[in-house]
Amino acid sequence: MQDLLVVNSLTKEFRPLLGRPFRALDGLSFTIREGEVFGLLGPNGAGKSTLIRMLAGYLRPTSGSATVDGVSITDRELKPLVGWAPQEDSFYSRLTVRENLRYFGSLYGLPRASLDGRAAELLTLLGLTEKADARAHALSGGMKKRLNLAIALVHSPRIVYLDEPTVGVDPISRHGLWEVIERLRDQKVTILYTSHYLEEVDRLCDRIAVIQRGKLVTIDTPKGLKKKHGRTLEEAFVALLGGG
Amino acid sequence: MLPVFRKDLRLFFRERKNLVLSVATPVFIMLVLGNLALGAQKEQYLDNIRLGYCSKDPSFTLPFELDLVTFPDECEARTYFMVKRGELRGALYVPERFTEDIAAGSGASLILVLDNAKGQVAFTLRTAIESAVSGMNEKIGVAFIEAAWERLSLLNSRLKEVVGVLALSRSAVEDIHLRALSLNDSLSALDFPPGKEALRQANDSLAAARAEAERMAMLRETARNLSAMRVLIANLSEQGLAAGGIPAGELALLKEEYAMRCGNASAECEALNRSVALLEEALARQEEARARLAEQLALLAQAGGTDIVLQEGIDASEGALRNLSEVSLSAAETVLAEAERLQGEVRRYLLELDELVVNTTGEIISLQDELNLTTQLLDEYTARSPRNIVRAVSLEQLETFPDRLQLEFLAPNQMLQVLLFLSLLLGSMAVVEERRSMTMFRTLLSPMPIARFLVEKLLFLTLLGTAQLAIMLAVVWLQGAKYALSGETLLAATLAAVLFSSLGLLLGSLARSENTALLSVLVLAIPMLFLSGLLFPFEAMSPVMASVSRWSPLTMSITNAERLLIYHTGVEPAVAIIQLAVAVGSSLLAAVVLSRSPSPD
Repeated sequence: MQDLLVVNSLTKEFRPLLGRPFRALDGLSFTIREGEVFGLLGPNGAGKSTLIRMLAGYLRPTSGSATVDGVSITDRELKPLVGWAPQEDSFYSRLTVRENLRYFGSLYGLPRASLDGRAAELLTLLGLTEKADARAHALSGGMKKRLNLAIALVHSPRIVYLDEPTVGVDPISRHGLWEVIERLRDQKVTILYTSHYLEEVDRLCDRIAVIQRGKLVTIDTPKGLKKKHGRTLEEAFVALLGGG
Repeated sequence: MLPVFRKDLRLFFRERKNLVLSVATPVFIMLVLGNLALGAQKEQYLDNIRLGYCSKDPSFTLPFELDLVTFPDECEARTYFMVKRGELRGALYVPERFTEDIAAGSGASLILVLDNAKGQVAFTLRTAIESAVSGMNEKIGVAFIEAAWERLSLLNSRLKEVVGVLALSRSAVEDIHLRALSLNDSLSALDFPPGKEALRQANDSLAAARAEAERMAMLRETARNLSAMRVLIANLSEQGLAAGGIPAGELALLKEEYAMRCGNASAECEALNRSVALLEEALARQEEARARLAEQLALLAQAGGTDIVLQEGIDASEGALRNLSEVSLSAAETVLAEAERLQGEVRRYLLELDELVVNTTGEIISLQDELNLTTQLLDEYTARSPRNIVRAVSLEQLETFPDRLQLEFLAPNQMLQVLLFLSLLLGSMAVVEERRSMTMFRTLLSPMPIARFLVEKLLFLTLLGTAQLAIMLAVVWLQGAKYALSGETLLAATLAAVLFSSLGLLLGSLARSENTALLSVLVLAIPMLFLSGLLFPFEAMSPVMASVSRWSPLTMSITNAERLLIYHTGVEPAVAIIQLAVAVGSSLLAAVVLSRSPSPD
């Protein structure tokens, strides 16, 4: 598999008007292969959200570079290539599920016919068909997470950034979401996945990058991490980051 | 203790924008309102009112100073036209012969045309002009009264002088009266004592003199007869004594005999009685002659014997006569002197009285002249109508839109104020919601440019705003405000909606929360509300605030609406361009802000 996302010495420094400059990312370098589910782990404040926002093209790097399928994250052409599902429910709660999908799909310039087809496809894929015409605010927490994910996929991006997609849902819904992600993985959708639930990272991710204070600590498969640093991924995580 | 309060306090202070807005909003709004009030000086207010002026009486000068708009030609029609178009707030016309008519006392009218669409300004202007007219009337009335007053004052002073003179005259007359009484007393005194007494005494003296003269003549006659009488008496005495006469004792004896014999009546007695009676009668005559003789003898004995006694009596009578003459002359002289004194006194009194009468008459003549003059003036004044004295100048008022409802004048402003609040709230809340729900961020990650996102949002809000205006127009139409609508009305409504919505988007892009957005809306809208001219006329504002208010988004939109719905002058291109420019600028600014911070954190 070829590298879809290439991150090279990516650095982001915030310079607030008041206060001292803050380096959120510090020379980060890694790659994500096509079709891979890539886990991004790190404690709160490690720089995960900043990294995703940069890779989504929203934030410009202070230095370094990153490309998605050869397109720089600073280019406008990047936008169709990436999909993003934020941690929060990010859709219009008074629109129906289908209307949300159509709307966000339209932002990517998809024609109405293909939008409908893609929406139906995603509804099926994410198990939302029965709720297609329900208003989003009426969905359960798990369903909302699925809609959030569907919107990220509506324009068939090359890579999807999933920012803690299972946070705040009950275990059953979480398992349902895992199944969805596994289906995506089966469909060779490249995913950058962040979560504090190491169990699901262990289950879903092909490789894991651990970052702390904006710097890359390690990249390895879950098995590799467990083998090198502990019996479970959690033990490995603590072993890697516990010292501070 | 007070956990909710403390939590709210903490949250309040941690939301910096809210904190700033909470403090800044009242400060900002009160600064704006304060500046408005600072400009609200009456004189400045009037100076700021654009008033057309058209005078056809060159000799007339306005009694007040205003910034007037005048035209050399066709001023009446041009100023009226400008008022009708809302370019002037009013116009004042002065007719021909205005000053002359006032001077003639026939009264005259000023004509004030008012733009009653601007109620407050019209009211102020009306009040000011009415006040000026009242002032003119007062001035004219005062001048009139002053002239009359001057005459009356002069007359009064003359009357006072006359009263003084009359008082003096009265005093003089009283004095004359007293002097007359005194003179009368003097005259009375002249009539009796001592004059009358002197005359009486003189008269008595004369009578005494006459008696004395008679006595003196008698004495002389007596003296002449004395010798003859003395001879006669001597002869008589000799004869009497010789005859013997009837002895008195015989008569007594005869009576006794008579008494004894004639106790009863008898012829003898009767003869006796007659004899006795004759005898008694003869005896009486004898006794009388004897007495007379004795008297003559006594007189003779008294008077004479010598002539010296008679001469002394004559001398005494002559002395008495002389004394009596002297007394009479002295009394007459006294009377004459007193009469002369009284004559002089009366003459002096008469001269004084004459002088007094002359003076009083002069005063009365002068007073008559004054009264004549005053009468002439009063004739002139009373020939005027009292109304033309009290209100020499009247004010005719014309309204440019006499048949329109007040609602029609207020509705454009009110509708746009409502639209302002709605659009600002809807626009800002829409952006805040997009940002809070991260849909904004999600949109920004899509290929759709932020500009297009905002344009489409603006388009929606504009249509919504336009529809809201249409609904409001329908409501006021049902209430009686029958506006003549046109394509330009739609254009003005659209311009207002796009302007307000773009401002709403900008506020939403600057706000991170609903609270902040709401406060921002208030910060922006409340000053615009007060600067819109509805609550506070532009003319009453300070020049700076008036400029700010004229170019405030709300005011620009109201201006267009009023031009269309009230004055029928069409949308002002410059205002429309500025509205569009502000809308574009606000949207661009909102785009920049949103592209930098599309998410709430």
